[in-house]
Formats: sequence, structure tokens, C-alpha cells
Amino acid sequence: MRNDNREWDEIRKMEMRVGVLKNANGSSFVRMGKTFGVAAVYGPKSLYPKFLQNFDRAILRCFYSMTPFSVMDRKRPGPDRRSTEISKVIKESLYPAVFLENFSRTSIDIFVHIEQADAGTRCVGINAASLALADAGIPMRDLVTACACGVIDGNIALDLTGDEEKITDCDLALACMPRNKQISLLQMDGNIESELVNNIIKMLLNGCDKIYEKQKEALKHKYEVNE
Amino acid sequence: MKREIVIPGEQIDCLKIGRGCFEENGKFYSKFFGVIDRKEDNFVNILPLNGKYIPKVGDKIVGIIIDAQFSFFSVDINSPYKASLPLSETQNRFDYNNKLNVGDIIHANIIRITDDKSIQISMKNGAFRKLVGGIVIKIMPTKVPRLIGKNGSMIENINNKTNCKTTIGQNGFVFVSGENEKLCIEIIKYIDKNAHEDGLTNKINEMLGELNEK
Repeated sequence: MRNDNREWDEIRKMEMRVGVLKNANGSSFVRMGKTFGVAAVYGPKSLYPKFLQNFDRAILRCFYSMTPFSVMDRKRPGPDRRSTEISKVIKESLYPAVFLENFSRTSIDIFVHIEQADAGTRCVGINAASLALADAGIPMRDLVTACACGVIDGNIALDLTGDEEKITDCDLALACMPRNKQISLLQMDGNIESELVNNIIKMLLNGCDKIYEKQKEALKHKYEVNE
Repeated sequence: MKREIVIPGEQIDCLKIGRGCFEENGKFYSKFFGVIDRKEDNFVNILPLNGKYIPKVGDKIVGIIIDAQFSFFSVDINSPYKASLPLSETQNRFDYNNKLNVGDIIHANIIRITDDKSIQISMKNGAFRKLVGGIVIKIMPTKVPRLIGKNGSMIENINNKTNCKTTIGQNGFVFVSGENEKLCIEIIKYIDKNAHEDGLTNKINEMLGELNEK
């Protein structure tokens, strides 16, 4: 058992909503434990300056940011090294899922904003971004779900909290398309025994399935409310 | 009949697929977050619930002129791409009483789309013209068929009861002019918001019924 009375392979409590922002083409809110954020999708829209346009496909742009009050010590607002990296990571994990070839010469912009951070912000970002893309009516092969994992005292722990992240030996984030179990992001910090890797990935894929069910529920719920 | 809602990547059981689906290893999946539209012979289309207008040749559209060049107009057609209307494709280029200007609203059709997505529209054929004396409202392009109804039944009903004239563009721009503009717009927006629901015709009739009582 862990600090917050979870099993080792249990995911934090999740809440997902779709269509939270009025002015965006698609938007979503995702909460995993104490981490939560919103994602907004604008586009496909015409892209300028013209040299950025791609002749036969749309380009995907992602902007990740955190509020200054999202962490214990004040985070300086504005882009920094870390957020630039996470923007790139989120974008590339969504890349294989979107039918970009349907919208040549356009851009699809994704904004991910983390309101409160307690580990696993990039996973929340990816989950929220893929929901927002689906909500915006952009054609996709599958939703993308993401989840993180660590090793504490030899136990594999799924979906770390901030406290656990400080004592873990490693932190492994994975994004996948659950239908075919295709992995689109695999990232790790720290050290780990090579025998454990397969078990960790298996556990992460199971975790992603659970998140996928939640995402499905959230999307279908949007149009049931009105009835 | 309950409408089935599907999410991207959800498997659909059917034999033939139409718009909004893709095939992978002999199985069919939905591309969109949308509603399944089943036709006879196990033929399936997915109607997306949201999305931008992607132009098709032959579509009749309502556009707003945003720029005038020496030999053509640029037209906003509610899509990621701008359309161009060459002077030679306008109704009558020497009719100075009816000449086009920036800000004018036009009804036209799409005649050509090149590979690099430059879109050419034309007003040459009979019914297309400049639209004056009304307002343009924007609805979701994916919900235009619902607004028109079967063989135009829905929009005809609205037009007759509110004494309005509407011009619907496939791109989601709707031009409204006439007596009860306000109610007409209200109803069109209601349809836009609730297009995925059943029994829409009855609700619209209710809203229109209130008008006649007043």
C-alpha cells in the first residue's frame, strides 16, 4: 500500500470534461489526483508566415505552460527550457494519431495549460490535448493516452504523486494509442534494472487502457447532458 | 431511434464505408468524434459533431468579400483557405449598379480547387448573386444538412412561418433577411446547438407555433 492508500498498480482519481472553453474549437479539462490542466485546440487554420506551410499536410504546434502558482516555489511565468521540451514531447506523441494529410497548408495549434502540478504534468497534457483534438472534430486514428510509472523500494508504482516522485529511482512516462498498443512516447529519468523494463511497460499499457475508458466516457458525456 | 455516438478510433461494424471512416487490417474505424449515419446495404457515414469547412467542387457557398485586387476578389468562406473570385466569373462585370466591393456578401459556387488548395468560385450561373439587406450568421458546417432537412423540409417550414428568406451556404454561413429575422436566427442557432438530438422538427414547430399565437 502507498501513502495515499492506493494499490501499486492503481491510477489516481481522474476527472475529465470536454468542451470547457467557449472560444476554442475544441477544449478539455483533465484532473489526475492533484495535477490538473486545460487544453485548447484552434484550427485547422490558415498558416502564416507562408514559409512555414507544408505543401501536403498540416503542421501541429503545441504550447505547454504552467501557472506561476502551480508549484510550491513560484514558477517564473513564460517559456523556459523545461516547457519547451514538454511542448515538443506532447506534439510528437500526438503526431502519429492525427490525419494531418487532410489539411494541407494549415496549422493545428494546441495550448496546454497546467493549473496545478503534482507530478505527471506531461501525461495530463497529452491526455487533455488528445481529448481537445477529438472535440475539435479533427480526424484521428485513435485517442492518445499517457501515464507515468516509477520504482519505489523495488516495487513498480503506477502514476506517481509529487511525494513519490522525490523518492523514486526512476520516472518513466509512456504515451500510447490504446487500440493497437502503439507507443508514441517513451521517456525515462534515473536508473533501472533492465529486467524491470518489460514489466513496467506492461503495467503502463494497462494503466493507459483505464485512462482511455475515462476519455471515452468524457467525450460521450458531452452530448448526453443536453438530453 | 437513438443516435450512436462514436469517438476517433472506435470500430464500426459495417460492410462498406463512406465519409469519415478508415480501414486498417480489414476492419473499419471512425475518424471523427461524431454520429453514425447508417444507410441501406450496411453502408456507413460518420457525421462529425464539430469541425471546419473543407471545400468541395460544386458546393454552393455564402461568402464575404475581404479584399479587392485588380482582377479578382478574395472571399472569406469560413474555411482555413481563402477563395478567389475572378472578375470574369462575377455576374456582370460591366453592371456598375451591382458592382462588388469589400464587405459584400455573395452566393456562389466552387468551380475549381487546385492541389495547393487555391480555391476558385464563380457567380456565373443563374441563381447566384450578391446578397443585400440581411444578416449573415455562422453555424457549424457539419450541421447544415440538419438545418435543410429532408428535401429542404426544415428550412422551408422556418421560411414560411417566419416570413423570412434564407440562403444557406454549405460552408456554414447562413444569410437571413425578412420580417421575423430575430426568431429565424434564434431557431437556426437552436438547430445548430441541438442538431444531434432526435425530434428536432417537433421542437421547431413548437417554437414557431408560439409566434402564430402572438
